[in-house]
Amino acid sequence: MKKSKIGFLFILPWVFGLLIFTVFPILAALYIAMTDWSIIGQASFVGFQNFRAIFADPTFYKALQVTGRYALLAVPLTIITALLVALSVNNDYKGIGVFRTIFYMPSIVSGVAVAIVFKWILDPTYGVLNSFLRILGITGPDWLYDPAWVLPSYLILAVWGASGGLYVYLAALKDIPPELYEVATIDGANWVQKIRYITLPLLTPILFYNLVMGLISAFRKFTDAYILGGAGEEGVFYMVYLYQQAFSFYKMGYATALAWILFVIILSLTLVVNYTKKYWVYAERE
Amino acid sequence: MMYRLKKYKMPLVYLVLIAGLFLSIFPYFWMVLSSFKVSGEIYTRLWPTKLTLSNYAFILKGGTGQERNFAGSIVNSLIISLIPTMSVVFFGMLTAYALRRIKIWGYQFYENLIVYQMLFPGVLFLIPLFLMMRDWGMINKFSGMIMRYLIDPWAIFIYVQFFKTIPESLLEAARIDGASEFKIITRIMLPLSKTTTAIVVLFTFMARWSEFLWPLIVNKDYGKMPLSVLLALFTKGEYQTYPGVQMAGATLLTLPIVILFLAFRKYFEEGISFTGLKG
Repeated sequence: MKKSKIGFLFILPWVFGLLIFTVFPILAALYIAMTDWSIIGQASFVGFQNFRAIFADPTFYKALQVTGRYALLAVPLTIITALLVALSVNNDYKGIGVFRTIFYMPSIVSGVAVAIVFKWILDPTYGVLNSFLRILGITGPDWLYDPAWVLPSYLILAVWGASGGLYVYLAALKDIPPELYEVATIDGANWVQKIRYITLPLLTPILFYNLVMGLISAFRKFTDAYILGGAGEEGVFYMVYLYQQAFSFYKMGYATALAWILFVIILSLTLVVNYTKKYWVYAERE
Repeated sequence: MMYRLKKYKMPLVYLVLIAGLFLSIFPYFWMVLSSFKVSGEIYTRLWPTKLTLSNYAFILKGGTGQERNFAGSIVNSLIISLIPTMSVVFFGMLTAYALRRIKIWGYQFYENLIVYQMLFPGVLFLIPLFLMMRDWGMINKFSGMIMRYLIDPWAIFIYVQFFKTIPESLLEAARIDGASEFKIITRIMLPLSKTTTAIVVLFTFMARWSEFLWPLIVNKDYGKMPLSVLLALFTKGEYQTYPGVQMAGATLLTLPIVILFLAFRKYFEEGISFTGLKG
């Protein structure tokens, strides 16, 4: 057989996969979003009715608010935390490798396990966190059981798992030429100045990239929100809302319309990354 | 003054590092410790007065006949993790080889397509794919949980990156010896791409092992549930008051990931640069 024919044979499974699991679902999603499809019975075409219903639904705005507020706070917090962690292990002190490894661990574990553990750590009466606060003479809040404290609870989770970016930051820090710091030292700059005028400006590309990626994953947050919930509707993140509409109420059309709205949000964020690529890609060494 | 600050800098850094270490590891430590405690002591004391294996016994015996077969769910998790992992490696190499080494007609177009496919937000597929699985009779079946994960554009992408670096002369020599294209993949490309394969295997296995939303949707059969889903439903459902069992389950869910991470840390650090894109 000719080489090029074999080549096409080799990519055939992927082509089929692409058509069946990517292209077709997108087209199907276009149609489903325009129907009143429920899991049973016939679907009928309703045009933009689902979108109109969504934009008139206060729960939608609430979910958007919960998610947006979380994203705006959690993303900068995790970036700052990860950066501080990276800076503190970006040296060759004895045993630093052990610290790096352990600092990275919170971000590798499945969302389910983390959610279950934090469910008990944050328990208002018996939780470790409030027991610890009690020792300090502070009466801890009710965390997930108090609407006002649901968001802070999720922020604690986010900051604890912030080290996911650790190795990316370490690689970026390694790429900064040491001569820059040497010159700065000769000029009498202290470490605060070095971080302010050398490290941070050179890290901006990677910081920006992480900012946008963090926003996207915040909007897709599901697992821990599904397991932990939260008082009132404070734990109903966008994806949880979508899941409920689709798989608790079987409003497939409505939920698909919700997915399109989320898609537009994510796509806009992705386009921003792509647009700014030229500002951050060049800094990477080939 | 400056001199004294320098002198204390190192111990100070270590102090901060150790505090951070404590915070990072405490939830794990608490999880593992609690999994060996008797239920009453989980809430009331940090240090147990006695250790017990009853939580693990509960899990491995499948509760008291409550259709919560955790031991089986570990096997289920392995099935829905290992099959996609092997398949992703196989099709990843096959596709990347055709694109980068055979350079089939229009290969650059296909490569761009792969990047778009990789970056495309999967949230849109959730409901159409669910309805598709239902129409194909794949609800409550392993095939429904596995099918969509058999080929991963991300794996093709990183194999393409690696295959770019292999000198053509190596392949020519094999072709002159009469080796088929498929044989070149298994005999030459596979041994050469050990690191890349290790990265693909690690990340794919971990992603599938921790997978939650998709198996939650397409499978309601307790007998086929992976550990992540079974444990989550157990925690949310009527077994909320079994913290010890929950912790034992969470420990079992965490253990393989931690072991893999510690054993293959090197590949992990190398693979991270690709995961930025995987997001």
